[in-house]
Amino acid sequence: MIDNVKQKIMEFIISEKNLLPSDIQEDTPLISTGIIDSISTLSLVDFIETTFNIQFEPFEVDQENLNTVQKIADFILRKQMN
Amino acid sequence: MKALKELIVRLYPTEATALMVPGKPDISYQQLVESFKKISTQLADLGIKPGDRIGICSASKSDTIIVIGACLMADMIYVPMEAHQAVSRNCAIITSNGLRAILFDPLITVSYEQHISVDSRSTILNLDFIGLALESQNEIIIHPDLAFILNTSGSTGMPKGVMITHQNAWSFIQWTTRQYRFLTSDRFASIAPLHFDLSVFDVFVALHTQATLVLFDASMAKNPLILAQYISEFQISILYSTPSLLSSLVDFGKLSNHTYLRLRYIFFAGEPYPIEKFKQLHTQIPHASYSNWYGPTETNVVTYYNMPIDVQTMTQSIPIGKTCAHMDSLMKQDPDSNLSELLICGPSVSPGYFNSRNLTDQSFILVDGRNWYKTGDLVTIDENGDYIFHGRKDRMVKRRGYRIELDELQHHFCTYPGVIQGAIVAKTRDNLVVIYAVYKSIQLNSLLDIRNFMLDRLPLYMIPDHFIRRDALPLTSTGKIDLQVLISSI
Repeated sequence: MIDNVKQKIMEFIISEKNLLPSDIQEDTPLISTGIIDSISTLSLVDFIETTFNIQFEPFEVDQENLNTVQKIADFILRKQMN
Repeated sequence: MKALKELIVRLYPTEATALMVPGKPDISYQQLVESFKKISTQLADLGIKPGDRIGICSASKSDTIIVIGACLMADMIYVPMEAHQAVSRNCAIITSNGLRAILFDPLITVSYEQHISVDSRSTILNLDFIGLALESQNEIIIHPDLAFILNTSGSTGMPKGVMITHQNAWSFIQWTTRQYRFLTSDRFASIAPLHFDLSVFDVFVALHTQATLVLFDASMAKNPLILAQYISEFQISILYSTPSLLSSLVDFGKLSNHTYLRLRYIFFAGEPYPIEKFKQLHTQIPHASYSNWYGPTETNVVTYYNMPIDVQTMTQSIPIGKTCAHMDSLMKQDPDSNLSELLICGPSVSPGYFNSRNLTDQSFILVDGRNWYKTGDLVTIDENGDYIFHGRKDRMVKRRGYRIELDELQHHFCTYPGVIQGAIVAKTRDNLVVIYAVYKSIQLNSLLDIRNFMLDRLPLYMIPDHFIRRDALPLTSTGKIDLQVLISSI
């Protein structure tokens, strides 16, 4: 389950930013390094909301939850459980 | 007395709220005026003299505004800087603007210390005060009315320092208050960063009106969900921003979760607002009055177009409109197209770039003793006498309202190890400016590594969206990279 989530996020980021699959791993910092800028962050949030059927609270759009693929996947699972 | 100084000195020290920051205590006019005086004295005690340039490199907008007021009171010149951009770029600004001192966020001071010669240290507000040892430089002649310097992208690879005089800013403030009705009960939003020219309106028109200015920092401005919530909660009534930001509110802010009943005026500037995107915003917030403002940093707003009430029938692009009452404009036939370049003259036109006669002479032209700015923007005029913007003469593009000289990018990109030939080009896709770095290199490079290399030298908003490696780049007969062919090949 979680691997599937990670896979989908990974694919989205790679295609959105035109990266090579080898450029990002599960623990590669995405926002703090600028790989994902503010506009891409919004597309990512939009993608996550529609793909995984969850809703972000305004304060949840944050590096804490979005900085790595691992963190994003954890966040999605937490939200789905609530 | 100089105009902005007079504006600051004449503020009534009332109990009314001057500044609001989400999550922090409000600051009244009385507190603000006291802070201006206190910091002004502290700066003078630290040896800063009238005419000295002071950099402000802080993410805290309230601290920055207090320093701005203090500088104006004491005839010092302030230079707002982006706190979280490449150290090397800010260092270039420190040198080219001949700064006498800088106020840093304590968190970032350490990354600058090895690059600057520290002469003295102190603390002002919550900021690190660093006095700089000035290298012996040729005496710079300071324009007697200079108030602040705004640094923008320059095609040589170095930022350009646009000098803004008290009179420049004041003539713009006066125009806005004659054209629109602002009230002391208004709540102005400060969304644009303070090193960006849109903020001149937010800060000075709000203070001049003795209204309330609500400060949104960069992290809030980047999060449309939070911004939409705050615009509603803080009952914002005047909002000035870029079409990119307004579109992101529509696309990602879930605007319909809140109401915006007090929102009276929405001004936008910095780039064209595609009409279909504008209609989406108008549908969400139909009761506000909208205006499209146009003008580069060098002139501030020079033309304006108040949107009609019935926008849903509009199909053409939104005009940049008519020349403001205090300004003059003329059209100069462009030799390379059937369009004309827009030239601007009047009290809000900057006297030029700081300490750069050369750059100033390239963009400004004296005719009969009047200083005209050549915008580089190509326009036509429609049957109503409104200007229509069509594009640029040169290689400058605008993204999210920020100016980007593609040659500044290219200059840095081509120094990446292993790049034999490189070019930066831009294309518009779905109304968005997309920047491509196309290059020929010895071996395959990690895109992450190239991106980080660029981020060490340039602000995030300038970083290309796509990096494309090619075996060869198209060349012109004179051996230069053929940019037109290159663009059409992407």
